[in-house]
Amino acid sequence: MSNQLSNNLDSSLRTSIDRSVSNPVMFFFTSGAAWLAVAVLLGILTSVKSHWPSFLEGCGALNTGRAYIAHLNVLIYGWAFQAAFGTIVWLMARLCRKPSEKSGVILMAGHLWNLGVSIGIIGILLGKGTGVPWMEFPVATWVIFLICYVLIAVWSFIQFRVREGGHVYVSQWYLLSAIFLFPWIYGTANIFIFVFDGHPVMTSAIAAWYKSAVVLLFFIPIAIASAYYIAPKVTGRPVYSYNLAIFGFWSLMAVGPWAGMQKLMGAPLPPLLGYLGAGAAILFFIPAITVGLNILMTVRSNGERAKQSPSLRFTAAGIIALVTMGIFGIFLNLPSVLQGVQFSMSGYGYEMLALYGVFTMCMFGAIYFIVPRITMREWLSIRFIKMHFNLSVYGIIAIVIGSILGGYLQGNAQQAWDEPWMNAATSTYAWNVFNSFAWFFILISNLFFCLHLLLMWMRLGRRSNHPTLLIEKHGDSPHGLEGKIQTT
Amino acid sequence: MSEENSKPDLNEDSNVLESHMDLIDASAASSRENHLRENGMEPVSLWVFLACGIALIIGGAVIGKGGSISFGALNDYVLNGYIQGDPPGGEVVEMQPKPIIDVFVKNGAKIYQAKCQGCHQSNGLGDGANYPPLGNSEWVTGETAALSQIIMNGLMGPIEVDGRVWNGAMPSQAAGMTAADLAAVMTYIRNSFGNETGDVVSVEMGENAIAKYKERGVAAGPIQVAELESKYKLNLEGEVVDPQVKVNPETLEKIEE
Amino acid sequence: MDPKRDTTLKRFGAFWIGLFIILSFGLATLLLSPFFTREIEDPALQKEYDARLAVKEEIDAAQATQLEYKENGESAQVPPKQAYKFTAKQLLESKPTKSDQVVPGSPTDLELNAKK
Repeated sequence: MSNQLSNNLDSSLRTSIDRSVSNPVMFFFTSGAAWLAVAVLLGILTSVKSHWPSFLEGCGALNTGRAYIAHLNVLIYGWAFQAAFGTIVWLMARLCRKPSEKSGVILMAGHLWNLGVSIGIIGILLGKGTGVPWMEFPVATWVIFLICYVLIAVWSFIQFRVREGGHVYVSQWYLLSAIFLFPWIYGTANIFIFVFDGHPVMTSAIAAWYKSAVVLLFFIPIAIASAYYIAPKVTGRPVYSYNLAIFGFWSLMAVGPWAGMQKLMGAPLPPLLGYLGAGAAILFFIPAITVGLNILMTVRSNGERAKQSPSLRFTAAGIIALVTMGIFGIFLNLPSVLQGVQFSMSGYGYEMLALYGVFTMCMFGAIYFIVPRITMREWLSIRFIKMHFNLSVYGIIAIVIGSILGGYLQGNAQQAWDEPWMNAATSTYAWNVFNSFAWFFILISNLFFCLHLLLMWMRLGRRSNHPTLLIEKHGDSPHGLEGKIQTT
Repeated sequence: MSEENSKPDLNEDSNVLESHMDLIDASAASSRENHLRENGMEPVSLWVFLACGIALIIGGAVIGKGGSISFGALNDYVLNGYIQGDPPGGEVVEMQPKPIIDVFVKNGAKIYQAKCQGCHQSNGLGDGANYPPLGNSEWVTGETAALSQIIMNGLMGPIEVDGRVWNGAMPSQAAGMTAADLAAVMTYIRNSFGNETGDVVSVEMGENAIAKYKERGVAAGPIQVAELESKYKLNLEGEVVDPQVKVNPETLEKIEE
Repeated sequence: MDPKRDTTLKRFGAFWIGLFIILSFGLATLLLSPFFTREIEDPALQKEYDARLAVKEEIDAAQATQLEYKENGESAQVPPKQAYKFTAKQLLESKPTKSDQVVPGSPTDLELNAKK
């Protein structure tokens, strides 16, 4: 009976934590999902314009340059950051066993963040983008973003300081490091690019470094943190190897900050910077395989659950993408290959692998886990979840392979001395069409996801004490297939 | 219960077990969660070590290629051998000599496209209202000094071309125009759009044109027909070049046969 | 549930520590960078800069002549911002001339068509 009592205490604590953060977290997830839909639409537009330039050519605000930049920035600042914030707030609250007392402030900061993104994307579409990769929002918005970020992140740190004591979970290492590394990276990049009057070639090197650092030191750690929570939780098994988790964390922290400047190999910069960047990007394989092994072996120890649980499935897919990212990283950053693919589609494919393949899939896993707990409802439709999963996986595999392979061929064609440049440009035609189809599939999958999430947001989810699993298995439950339907 | 301010009063019609059960049902999702355990100590497969080792060797080799890792290395900016210079294979392709008129017409076409096409159109017919046509234009096919000064200074005021009076304004094209460029574009327009003078304005003539332009003075502004007729109705000074003589397309020098 | 771990003072302190850690890198950058940056003086680059600037001056001067006010007989070259004002003045001063265009529906037009 004492076990029952402690279980009840645990679940009542969990419930109170969930209830305290439900407003901001649900807001982050729903607004993030809306921005994701916008980003995917812009992605389709960009992709279509690259093989059919006259599509929508009358609309100057949507020309390729602006649509592509808007697509990337909305994907990152509109969707990825908000999904990250939702996960950070909920995960840190749960792991520190402390309900959040400042949900109102966090919610307000979230609204302000959305305002910043809206201003930014309108600025970009009107032609006021700054032209710095991944920092194209008009310069004034970066102050807004920094303030919102501080308002959101500092309270997670406070929760950590006043936590219930004892063990510091693996996820918490990654969350804390991400919370502090991001403003360092963001502030440094913005100060050197927009505040100081530096040498222009170096500012583009710093922009390339920012691109890589924000992925390796913010998005990937948060994806890994969510995986280290969901995998042991849902499978009920312990994390495969704690020592491997320690090694994986520190190797990521050691390797991550150095990568990025290999994008500018061959520019009038000290070659050392490019080679260090390339070496670090290759060495990223080590933390990738370490974390991948840890999580995937944890999942494998209770493989049944991966078939049933949507959150575990998405998370496992994301971690497989992480290992793939490590392998592709080795290949794409060898200097001989880098010569060719530096100015090709491969960069885009690799970025999409990181942002969508790893981060977004892990965030989908987190969302499928968290939302039932904060809305007290279960997901409505197994088919929606399956469609979302299958189409997302097909889509992202298509985009990554299409872009990286197409970019490799394009790069080789560009390096061919005696062929006209036009050959290299036209060789991408087929790959661009392929990409457009892939983005279209991702759009459909995200429409399912958005619709499902909106229904949950409206509290129209299933009221049941049985989870929505991808395989029907409750035939033998005393409550029947639907579980015990709540009437309260 | 400890978060709330007051404890619920126990009275006869509250059933603690039932209210616990209700709580469990309402928060079914969090009730059925497993505990998070991180005490796994499984051994790591050797294949992973091997893979990491290979990655380390490759990464280390790449970093090593970067040269010495020191602050001194931040002083050089050239990465030798990265950008292609000569084509692989070692032979430098010699430019085939071509007749000078072909070379000049080709170069002139590029300059025309960059500077002149906007107003005079790609077919040299102008726009019918403001910009006169260049085909069958006595100003183009006539004396080279007049044409060169129109190009260098710009034109203002009425001008009669092809039987019609045009009253537009042409800006000066002197900015960035070298003697070779001027010679090329003049040769081009004198041999295109229906004009067939068949001769070449040489680089020497182009230099003479620029000298005349500087002599007139940059600040004098666009030229007018009256001044052209009084002062510039002559050919530019310079040796007349046989249009068919072969030159090196890059250096524009004559190739001795 | 040890209440002593979670005091208001600890929260207050954690807020400021967190804020400081977040802003520390930016602060360090602003404070330390004057010591680690240097002006690069490369005479070859400077020559290129000078050459480019000279070309720019030349072009600016040449283009400036197009933007001045110059009269030549009947027409004038007017700076762009005053073009409308100048043309309007000219139009106001000139008298309406007889044109040979016929407005459809006017009496002249009807007359002409009746004759056909």
